[in-house]
Parts: sequence; C-alpha cells; structure tokens
Amino acid sequence: MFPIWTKNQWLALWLGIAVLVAIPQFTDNDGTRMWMDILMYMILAMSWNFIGGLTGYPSFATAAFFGLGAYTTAILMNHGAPFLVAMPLGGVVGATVALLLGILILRLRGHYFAIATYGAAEGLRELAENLEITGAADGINLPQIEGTVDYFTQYFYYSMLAVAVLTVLTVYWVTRHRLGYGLVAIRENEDAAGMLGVVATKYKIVAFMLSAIFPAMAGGVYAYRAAFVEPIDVFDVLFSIEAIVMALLGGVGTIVGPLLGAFFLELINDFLWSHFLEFHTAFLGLIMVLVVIFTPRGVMALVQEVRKKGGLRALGGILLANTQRFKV
Amino acid sequence: MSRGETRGGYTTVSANDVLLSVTGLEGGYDQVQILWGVDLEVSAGEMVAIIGSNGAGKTTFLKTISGVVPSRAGTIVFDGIALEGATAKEIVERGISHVPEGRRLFGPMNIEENLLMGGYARGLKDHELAADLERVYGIFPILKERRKQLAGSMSGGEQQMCAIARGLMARPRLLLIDELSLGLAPRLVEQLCANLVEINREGVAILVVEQDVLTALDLAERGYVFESGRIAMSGTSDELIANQEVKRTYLGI
Repeated sequence: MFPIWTKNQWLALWLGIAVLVAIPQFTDNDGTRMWMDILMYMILAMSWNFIGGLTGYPSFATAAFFGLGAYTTAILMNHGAPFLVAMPLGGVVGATVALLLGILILRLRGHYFAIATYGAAEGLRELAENLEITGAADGINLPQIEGTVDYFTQYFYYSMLAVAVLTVLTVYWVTRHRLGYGLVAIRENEDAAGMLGVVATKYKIVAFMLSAIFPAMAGGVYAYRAAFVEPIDVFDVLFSIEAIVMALLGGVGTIVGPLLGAFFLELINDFLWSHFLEFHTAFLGLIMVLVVIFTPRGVMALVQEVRKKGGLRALGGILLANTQRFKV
Repeated sequence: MSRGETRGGYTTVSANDVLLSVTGLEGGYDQVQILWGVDLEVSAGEMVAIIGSNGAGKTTFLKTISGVVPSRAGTIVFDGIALEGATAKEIVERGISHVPEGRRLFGPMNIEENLLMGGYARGLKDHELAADLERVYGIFPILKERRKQLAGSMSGGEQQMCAIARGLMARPRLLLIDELSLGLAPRLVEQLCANLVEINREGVAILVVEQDVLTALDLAERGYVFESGRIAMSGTSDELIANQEVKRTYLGI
C-alpha cells in the first residue's frame, strides 16, 4: 500500500549496479581503489541514514560498528575462518552490539543520544587498545590474500560492491515497508507516532541495528584489504563524521542523497588528498560549513527547489534565502 | 457486554451500553500531578464534550486514556476491559483513536501516507487498507483530491480533517479529539462539526475537547466541565448551557 519506487528509480538502480560491476574493466587499479572507497563511504552514509536521517537520531556510532566488524573479521580469520564467513559474522556482531547499546541509549533524545553514541565508539576504541584478544594498541595482522595485484584490487572492490548492493536493497525494502514510514513518523513526532500504535522503542532499535550491520561488514572488507587493524585506525571518529557530512551534503532522510553525498565528497577528498595532503581535513570542515549555511537540507532538496523555481537562474536566490534562516 | 451489528464498517455496540468508563483517574507528568480523581462515562455511539479553561487537565486526560501518559490511580474500562497499564499500541488496537492537539501530522509525508499511518497498528492487508481509505475519503472528499499533497503544506482546516481521518483509519469505536477548532476559521469549524456528526452517525463514539463552549455543547449531547484536574460539573448540553456558572465563567454572559 505504501508507495513503492517508480520504474525509473528501479531502472536507475540496476543501471547503477551494472555500471559499478563494469568499472574495473574501464579503469586502472588505482581508479578501482578509488571507486572502492566511494562504495565504502556510500555504505557508511546510507547506513547512518537509517538512524540519523529516517529516524532523526544523530548517531556517532558508525566508527564503533566499523571497528567492531574489522576486529571481528581479523580475529575470526586468524582462527582459520574464511573471509566470506568472517566478514558477514562481523556484521552480526555489529548488529548485536547495536541491539544491546540501543536498549541502553535509545531512550535518550537529541544531543544526549549523539554524545552517548560518541562515548560508545570511544569506549570500544579504548577497549581494543587494552584487550589482549585485539592485540592492544599494537593491533593485529590478518592473513594476506594471494594473487596478482589485479586480483587483489578487484577482489576487494567486488566484496565492497556486494555489501553496498545489499545496503541499497535494504534501503529499498525499508523505505517501501511499514518500517520506513514508522521511522519517519518517529522522527516527525514520536508522541503522535506512539498514539497511532508505532512502538517507537522497537523501531528505533531496528533502525540502529540496520545502521550497524553494513558498516561492520565494510569494516571487515577494509581490514582484510589492509591485512592489519589497529584501534586508532578502524575506530577513527572520522568514519562517523564523514558518514554524517555525506548524508547532509546529499540530503538527510532521502534515498539517493547519501549516495550522491558519498560520491561527491569522496571525489573531492581524493582530489584534495593527492594535491593538498596537509589541508585536506580543513577543506572537509570548510565544505561542511558551506553545506550547513547554503543548503542545510542537502543537495537533493536544492535540486528540487531549483526545479520548482524555474531553473538555474533561481539558484543564487535560493542559496541566499537559505542563509537567512540563521538570522535572529 | 453485547456486541452490536456492523454498520458502515464500524463495529458498534447497541445504544446506552457504556463504552468507556473512567473512575477516580489520577495522572500527570513526573513530579506534577494534573488529574485528581476524574469520573467520566461515554456510551456507545455517543458524542460527549469536555470543556474547561487552559491547564484544567483536558489534554492530559485524553493522553492518559490513550496510554501516552501513564495513570497513577483509578480505573479505565473500555468495552468491559480494564486499560490501565496497557500500551498505546494495545489501546489503539482495542478501538480508541486519539487525534492530538495541534494535529501532529507527519509533514514530509503526503496525505495518503499520513492516513495509512493511521491504520498502522492494525497490521492490515493492502486491500483492507484500500477499502478503509475509500471510506474516509467518502467523509472528506477534499482529502482524496489532495491525496498526493504534502501534509505540511495544507491549511489548518485541511490538516485537522487529515488528522481526524488518520484517527478513523484505525477503525476506532471511540475517537478522542483534542482541540477541534483551535486556530481555525468559523466556516471550517462548521464543516468539521458536520463531518463529526456524520462519523458519529456511523456508530463511532466521540469524546471531544473544545475550548469554544458553544461549539462544544452544540455538537455534543452531554458535556463535562474540567477544573483543576477534577470534574466541576456535568450534564446534558442544554443543562450546561442554561447553567449560571457556565454562563459566567465560559461564555462571559
């Protein structure tokens, strides 16, 4: 009954997947590596969108789940598990921790929730830095994959693509399902949603678990590719922040927004990284500020408004009008 | 309690059966107790008004009935079953729908999506939801015309219609409406009242909180006057309108 995606959206989805499958045939290993990074950030941004965008609970726990998945994969593979078993199990561990964490902190709202998720991520990093099973601050090595450089690059590219496609299909399923509407209702008005019979606690926990499972799997791919995990790297809060910035840039709570945000920001990142190594995080901050000032509802909303108001000539006016909402 | 026939899709109970019976209800938020022993009854298919000044506890009372605010003492019996301690979801499923003050529509969803959210708790099949949609569109044709419009972009009156229709989608036997006319033009209030009468005729009991006393008592058969979390007065609408106290306090006559 709830509206499903239009035929065009479906077509775009499959076309997009087809293009991504073909990419390693049209670019060199370095290009494939960059596209793998884009896919990874797409996974993080889309996953954050479940809890931060649809449900309206700003989570900083992306890094926590990413790190959990990375460590789970590393530890299991060191005990002889094959990658294709270890990586999905990393997702399960991520989702389980999200379940337990969610029960504890999803009764908090707004800033308090954000701080609690950040605290959880930092807490996990501290744990990893001190436990024996995680190799403490030294980190742990993983078995190396064998084969040519081409094989190596494409193996991880396609692994990441598989997780990304799984994420997109889940987004598709959730947004056409009662679950997605329940989440949006919670975001818009948790009390009113409750009056209609939406059991908010249950829904929020499911959204939090969805925001955990795919980053954890992506963390697994990341760990096996690097063949090494250390706390400071895989629990880096930048994973959380970039996921949020990408979702904001594209359009919070939209389906395509986080995909576009991840794509553009990672392209910009890659460019800055290779040309201005020192300043690249400063640029990231600058972009964040510009987004919040000029298009607080994201590029998707901007595109819609430009279309409604008659083309690009209106763009300047819309951007200026957006800045006015901060005037007291 | 005898279940009556199904009329217009809504299950009704034969007239004069008590549908909702509240006794000694106390409740409030955290440290603040608002309700201090409220007794109230609504019969099946009846339309009852609650009037009273700001802060008298009307909204809290409705929220306590619908399970959004927990009760502290007293009983709430709906159709023979005690509701204290039931979750909001269970209460919706039992047949009580709450149309909250200020409409509380989901702004980024269109009208139809908002209405579907109303049928949410029941977990119905698509074709059942479609039939219910047609039924509420029958009462509010303008909503059908604008079904793809975003709820946040409609006028206050249309939003109130959408909120009531959303409440109806849960197939209630009792509809709780908080502040029906707040901020609406008189012509729209008239239209909404006509809609409520129509809904009531189909067998849905209505308990409406309304700050405009004349509108309230014109609409309802009986009324309760809330004061500081207690029932100060109750009676038929004619009795209340004729009452000197009501005239002086609420009508300024």
